[in-house]
Amino acid sequence: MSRMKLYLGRIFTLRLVLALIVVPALAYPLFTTFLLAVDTFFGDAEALHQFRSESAMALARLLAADWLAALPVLYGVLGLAIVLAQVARACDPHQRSWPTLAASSFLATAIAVGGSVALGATPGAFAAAMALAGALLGGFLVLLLGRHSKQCSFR
Amino acid sequence: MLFPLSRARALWALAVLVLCAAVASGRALAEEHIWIIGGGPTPEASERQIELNVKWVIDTLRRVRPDARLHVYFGKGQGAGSDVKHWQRPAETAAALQPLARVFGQQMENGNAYRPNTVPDVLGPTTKTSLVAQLGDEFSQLRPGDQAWLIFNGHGLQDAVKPGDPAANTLRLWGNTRLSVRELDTLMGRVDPAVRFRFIFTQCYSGGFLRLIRPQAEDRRELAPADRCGFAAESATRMSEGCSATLKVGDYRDYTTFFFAALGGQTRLGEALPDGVDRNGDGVVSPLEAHRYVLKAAHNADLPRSTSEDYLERWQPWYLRWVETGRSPDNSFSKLAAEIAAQLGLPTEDKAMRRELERRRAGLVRESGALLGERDALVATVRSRQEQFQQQLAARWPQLKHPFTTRYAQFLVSDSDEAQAFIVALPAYDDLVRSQDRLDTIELELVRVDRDETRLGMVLRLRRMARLLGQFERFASARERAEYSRLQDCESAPL
Repeated sequence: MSRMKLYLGRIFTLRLVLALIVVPALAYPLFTTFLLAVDTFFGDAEALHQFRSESAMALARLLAADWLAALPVLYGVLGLAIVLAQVARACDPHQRSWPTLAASSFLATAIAVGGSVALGATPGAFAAAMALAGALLGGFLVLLLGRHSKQCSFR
Repeated sequence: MLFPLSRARALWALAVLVLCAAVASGRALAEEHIWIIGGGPTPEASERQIELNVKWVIDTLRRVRPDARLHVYFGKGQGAGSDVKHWQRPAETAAALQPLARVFGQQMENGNAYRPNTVPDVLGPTTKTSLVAQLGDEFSQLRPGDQAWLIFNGHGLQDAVKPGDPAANTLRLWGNTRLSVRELDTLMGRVDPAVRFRFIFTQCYSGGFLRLIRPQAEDRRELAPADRCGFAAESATRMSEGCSATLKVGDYRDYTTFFFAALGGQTRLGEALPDGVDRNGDGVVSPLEAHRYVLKAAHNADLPRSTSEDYLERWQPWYLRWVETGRSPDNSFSKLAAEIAAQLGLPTEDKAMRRELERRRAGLVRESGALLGERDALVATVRSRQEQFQQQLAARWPQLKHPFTTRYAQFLVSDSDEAQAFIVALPAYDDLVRSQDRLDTIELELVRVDRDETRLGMVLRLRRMARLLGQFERFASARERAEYSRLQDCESAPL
């Protein structure tokens, strides 16, 4: 039984590590897709113009370079979300899930609003929110895995 | 008391005179050097338009800056041989061999003629080894305070191995040689950093040469210490408005034609320029204003750019990308975009304008698709007819299958009239002529569609530049502002 628990624990730890690595990396394509859709349907279709009039390869390189530049920030946001979630759980004597969710949502809202104010742009808020979606997803995964195995717990 | 006072005054006057003389001599010592490099890599690719452009640039510069020292390098230089191709529509006569040329698909080439260039004061050929040696020597002689221009008028290429690397783009030089952005950067490294060095590149993929403002022409955000700036007719990934071998100067719509018209104060045909070329109203048209005039006035297939525009594009951080693309802040770029939109009869309101832009673009894409479809069908028809005619001709004059032989030469002397009468009498010959002429017209219509689509693209590009400038003014650091300002000063300084 203890061997089984150890085995399961390893699987969940691996999944957690993978989630931590992959989720922020996926956040950029996610919010960029959203922004490109907004640009195409409500904006000047800037990306489409670059694709048609300039160079598809140059656009792809630009997106790849942006993705690499965004990664440190997205990992940082995920780290912040996890720390906040842990603090919220530690402060809750019943160890319930909702303080973690509330803390993550608060962080998401704070960054989205802060981002939009800083950029002076409405879609900027969406951009920040989409970036945070990745972090929130990570938070959910942490919670989900944390219920199954104590090894996954950050405490 | 009077004497010491007058002596003091005299000393002051002397000091002022010495100072004035020093300033004047300093000014006199500082020189403006302009390198003009032109021509194609081979006679076949050295169109007359390039030669006429270079001659016109020389005339304009001599008029506007008579004190500047011109260093002209063109094609093969002053040696023997031809380095300019010009074209005139050949007559549809047997004497002009046009029926025979049509059957063998040489009806356009039949109008080509070759001759040596007539560019004045050419110092040498543009062959890479020769040019690099000459430029290296001349560049190293520039002194602090001098000003330099490098103007290239010819052809360019992307690197076949690294098409995505702008610094690998090349100038095509005489003898089918090439000079890359990196090689030119190394060459320009011989110039004293205190010399302001400006450049104009008008060839295909010329945007790659805007990298000359970066350290070692690398893909970096910051500027190199040298005081460099310039203009390019196109991006690093697009071909520029094609060179023409035609004699009709009025048809020319390339970057050089409009840029130097603005600097020279008159169009290529000697007509007055429209109002508003001198955008800041200081009485002098700066190179930056000339560039803006090209953007506004040139209805061609180019999307030109300056180094300061390139700087803004490279500056934009990832978190500002694709944000707020439906709006355009009020600045010099948005004004220019609005002016072009008005020329094109586009609505002024953002949403309506975007809808109309997309509607027109879709129409042009449909038109282009229809033309390409018609072209493909005609090409197949023409090929089939040509093969049929060639077989019929070869049955009567088998020597036609072996050009560059004695028998072929004899055919041209003794049998060509009869053969061409035979061709013209063929029932489908008129159809071949019509199809070939239609193909020529289709090429011109495709160029027109490309130009129309590029003008719509110009509005979008300028609106994007307006947003970039707006973002830059809000978020750029002090160092970035200083660099951008340095580029703008360089681009705005009078010729």
